[in-house]
Amino acid sequence: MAYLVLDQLTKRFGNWTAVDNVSLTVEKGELISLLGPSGCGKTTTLQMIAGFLDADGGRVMLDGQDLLAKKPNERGLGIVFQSYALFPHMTAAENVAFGLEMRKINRADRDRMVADALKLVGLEQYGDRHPRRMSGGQQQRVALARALVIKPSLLLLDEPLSNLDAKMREEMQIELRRIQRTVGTTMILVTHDQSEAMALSDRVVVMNKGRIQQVATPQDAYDHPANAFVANFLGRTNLLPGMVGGGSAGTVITVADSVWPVAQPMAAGPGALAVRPEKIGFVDAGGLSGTVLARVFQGTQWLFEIETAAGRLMVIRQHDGSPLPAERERVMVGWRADDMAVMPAGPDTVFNAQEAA
Amino acid sequence: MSMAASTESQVQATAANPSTHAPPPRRPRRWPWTPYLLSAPGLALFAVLLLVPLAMTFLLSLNSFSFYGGIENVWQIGNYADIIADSYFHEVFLRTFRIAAVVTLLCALFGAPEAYILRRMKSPWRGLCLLIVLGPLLISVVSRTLGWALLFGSTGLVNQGLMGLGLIATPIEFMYTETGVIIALTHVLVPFMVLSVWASLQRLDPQVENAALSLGAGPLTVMRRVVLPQIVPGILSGSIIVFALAASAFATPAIIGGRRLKVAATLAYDEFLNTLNWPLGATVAVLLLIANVVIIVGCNRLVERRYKQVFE
Repeated sequence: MAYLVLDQLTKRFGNWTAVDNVSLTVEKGELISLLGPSGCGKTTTLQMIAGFLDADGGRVMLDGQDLLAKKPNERGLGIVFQSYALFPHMTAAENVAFGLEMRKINRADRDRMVADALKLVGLEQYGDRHPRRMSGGQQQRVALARALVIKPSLLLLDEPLSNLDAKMREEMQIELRRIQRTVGTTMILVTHDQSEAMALSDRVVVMNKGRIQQVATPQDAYDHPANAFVANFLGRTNLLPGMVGGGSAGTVITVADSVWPVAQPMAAGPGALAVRPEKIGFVDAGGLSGTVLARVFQGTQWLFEIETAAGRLMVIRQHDGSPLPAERERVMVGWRADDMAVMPAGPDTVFNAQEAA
Repeated sequence: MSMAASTESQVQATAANPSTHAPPPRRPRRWPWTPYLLSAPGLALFAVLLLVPLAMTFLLSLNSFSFYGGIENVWQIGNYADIIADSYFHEVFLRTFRIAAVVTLLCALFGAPEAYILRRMKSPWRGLCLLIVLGPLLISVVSRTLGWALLFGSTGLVNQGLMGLGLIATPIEFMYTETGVIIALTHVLVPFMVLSVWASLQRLDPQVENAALSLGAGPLTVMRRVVLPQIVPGILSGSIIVFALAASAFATPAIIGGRRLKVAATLAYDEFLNTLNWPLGATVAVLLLIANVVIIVGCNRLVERRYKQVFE
């Protein structure tokens, strides 16, 4: 039985559905990310789990107990807020001790647990500082210690790293991962930053417009996006328009002058082919023909822009000494059928830029 | 070695091209009086409208007065000695500050929760309720207080209602009592407290309350341990405003308290206009000012010292 179960969770604001029938299961000890653009319903979902918003439908079960029936202060969850939400009138140690005080833990145990929690986040020297006198990263650590010290059954992190600068954010990513390994708490991380989600999570839940688009391991979601939205949101991708049809060797998709086999059964009609820039190589035959528009050296890799009949393609090649085409050269590009994903195209599918008319 | 070399080359560069290191060409020297000149109109207004009358009041308080001779242009501190020696004046001053203290307390008790509730209201109601709270400020003190007088009178609505309900047998004395003055002043001054607390609530991170909830605190604990400590500076600065206004209030105590229940402001007024003992009236005014300044500055110091660490 799964540890945390979201069952058809729904939230409406007026006639706008912020969270639409979201169902998800999370295993104990897992770190799972809710990933999506702003307004996709990820924070609303988190707030319903935390109890700050009432759900309009569905259930949340944690360890077999109905979470929605409990008041927010009885759920025993740890929450790290985007703004950190530290108590400005208390020192770091008092902030961390607050949850323990509420649990009526005696003074001696409390002091020991606060010291342990501050040590876990590397702030053992800063216990008697007020939050105003701490840096953003330090405040973030206090917030984390405050949420972890109560040994929560579930830790919710709402965009925890978005207020930090790039260097600090990388440090905290590693730190978060280390802490998660150490304490083994089940965590749900809400973020709009795909690299953060991929770096930290065991699984990512990609959301858009209140619905779950895909639940998969970061690698799986990256390599095999379920649809065009996921393909575009997770890293850079080439999305090419094509026509799906039946051929002698099974279903195929035709993209300009090239034909690719489609593994899964699909109805004939307009389709989209997604392939990552780094999965594309230069081939001699059986690929998509085009012209090199530009090539840019980026140190470890070369970035190519290739003009094809299906649109402008982005290609990344490792800088490993192998010969690479020059600008304005006629080339043919190809990829392994395993490295591409084919999905039905809708009116709102955003393809690569087409050749200027 | 390399250090020396670089210093040397720097020196050479400086010597070779002095213009890059020379100070920028001097601007024509500014006349040092410009800032004073620019603020002169404001300073003049301040001096003429505030400092001069204050100084004149103080000088007046040093003059002496006799019923037959009127104001005599002598300099003495007899008026101060009279007030300090006379228990009648003690009573008036004590009453003034007692009323001010109770009004401040009531304003804090009503105003702070009022501001908090207002902040949590949704948009159309919030504006409407804020208007109702601030409403008293829009009505003239005199007409508002006369309204209270009508309500409070022995045949007023409150007493009639209570007697009609059989709750009391004889009318409660509101008019010409401290209770009446306190109720009316609280009504008048509560908006200042609401505005002041409102300002400090604006700085409160709304997530902080959720954070406390998630850590297992009940709504009352959140209030006491998290919200209240953060709005205390707002309550205290509101209290200073309310206290100052209540201690120097004139219209409300004059109408509700009347001649029978004098406070410092109405006492000074009567000395000026009825007894015609201007020097004594001026003395009362000066003493009221001094007492007010001492209390307010003292409180302010206390607040600043207490919250320096947390709120800078």
